[in-house]
Amino acid sequence: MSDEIESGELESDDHEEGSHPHPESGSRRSLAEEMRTSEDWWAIWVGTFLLIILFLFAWTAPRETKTDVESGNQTVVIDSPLKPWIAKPATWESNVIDTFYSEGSGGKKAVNTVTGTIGVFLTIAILFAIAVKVRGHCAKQFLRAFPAVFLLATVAYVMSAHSVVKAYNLEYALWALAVGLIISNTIGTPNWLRPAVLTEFYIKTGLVMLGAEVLMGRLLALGVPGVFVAWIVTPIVLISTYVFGQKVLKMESKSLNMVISADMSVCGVSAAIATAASCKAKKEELSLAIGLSLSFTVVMMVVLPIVIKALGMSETLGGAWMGGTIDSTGAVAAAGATLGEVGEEVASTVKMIQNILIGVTSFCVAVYWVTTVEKGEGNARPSVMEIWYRFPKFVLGFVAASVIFSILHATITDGSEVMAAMKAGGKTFRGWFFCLAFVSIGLQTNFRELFPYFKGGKPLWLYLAGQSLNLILTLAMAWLMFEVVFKETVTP
Amino acid sequence: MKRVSKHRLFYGGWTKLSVAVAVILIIWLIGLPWLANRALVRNRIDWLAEEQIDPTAMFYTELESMDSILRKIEREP
Repeated sequence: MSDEIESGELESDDHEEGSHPHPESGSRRSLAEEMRTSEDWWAIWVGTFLLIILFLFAWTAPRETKTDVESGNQTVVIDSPLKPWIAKPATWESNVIDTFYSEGSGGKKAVNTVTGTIGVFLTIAILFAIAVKVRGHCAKQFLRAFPAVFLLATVAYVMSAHSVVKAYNLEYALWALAVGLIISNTIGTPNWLRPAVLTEFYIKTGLVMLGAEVLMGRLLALGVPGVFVAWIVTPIVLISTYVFGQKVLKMESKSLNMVISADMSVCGVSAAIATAASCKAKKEELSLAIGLSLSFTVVMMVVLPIVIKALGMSETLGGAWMGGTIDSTGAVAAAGATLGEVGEEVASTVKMIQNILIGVTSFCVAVYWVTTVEKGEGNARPSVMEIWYRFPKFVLGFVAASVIFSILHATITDGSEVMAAMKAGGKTFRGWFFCLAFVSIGLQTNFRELFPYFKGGKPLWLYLAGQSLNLILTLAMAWLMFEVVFKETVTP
Repeated sequence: MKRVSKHRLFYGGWTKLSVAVAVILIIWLIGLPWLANRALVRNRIDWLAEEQIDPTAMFYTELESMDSILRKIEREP
């Protein structure tokens, strides 16, 4: 039996190589050298390459105009030629084979995710092998280990694709963690697997790809009220919860405090991933924050609609309240739909506006961390160069992707349709990167390492206190915006 | 302190893994398909499919229903 892999932080392995000397001293690599060898920059290169390819194929694909029989509205439909080559296991119910292949019958669409899964596997294997090689590691060892890690990620995806599992918001992140944990806590993670256990690299590449989905133009989808509920309350709750964690609960780990505060106030798992990478949280901290978020999401998606109906709230107010408070995006839509069509539309749109906050949150947390939390010797504020040096560069790729694709979305012909065609491939790659990251976290984690983080139940108290504040403030702001100030003008 | 042989640890690990895999297979291949056909769960699955909602969506771009909501918003003046 091989040794287990040691636990570490969600920060680049460049750290070990001395690219981020801390405090301000020691030899540093030039920017060109860093761009060639650092993990952050390679996350940007790989993410950018994939985004450009996906965009070009979507942009140049033939357009088809469809007319809605009922409304008479015409819509442009674009199908990327890459679509059959990028896929993940599909939803299944009674026969596990259906997740990869099924003939269409009884109104059900035919499914073939085999070629798409193989396509994703080959693309990631090739791009990451190049990255590993250029960065000075052994590509052969990576290619020997990657199929096994990808297979584990596929198993996690198949588990999460069961219709019952999906119906109750049990996301793939949970199963990917579980699959990795089962291996590492039974036979132990073999050393030969280690070259492909690249948690941070997968997460950072996935985040750069996520940037293309953060379209700033969506920000005003609900007008001023949506911005107030999603962009005013959310940062207040995030900062208040973090301060509460530091000053009142006296959390031992600032990064755990920040990750829980962000996933609870912004949008669950995706915000937790982005924030954890920005503040270099430990992988156990990310696992804990996601576990808390998913547990409370399941409860809130059932309880909140009942409370809203019992209190006789309007669909708009109830939808806005749920959109601003339930962590997971899918759970918000499911809970909102129980109120009615308007409830679902308002809830989903408020959550979408909150989703867009991820980029700003990630950037601000990264700046706060390098300027305030990671101070140099003598507690002195670091210089601008030092801040630049320590700044997690993948965040720049994330923000740049968001800005560039927001501009493209707003300026090119059929921008929304091109983005939709591109998004199909982008979100699938991003999902695989995150799934591979969570499998890797599981492979690096020993159950015993998780227990100290529950010390005194502080993470739970932090989540409960933050979510209570979130519920109160969001309800107050939603009522003020949707029922008082903009009552006559808001229609989703 | 009791010393456990490497040999025993090795086989203990594989036994634990086999048990975990067996539990997963039983739950996913027998338990969940059975559960999917109970009235309460069946209704929920069908309702979610009809509404085009995936409760496990991590981001708004993963929600099929969001496309029609955004189209509706874009059409409005």
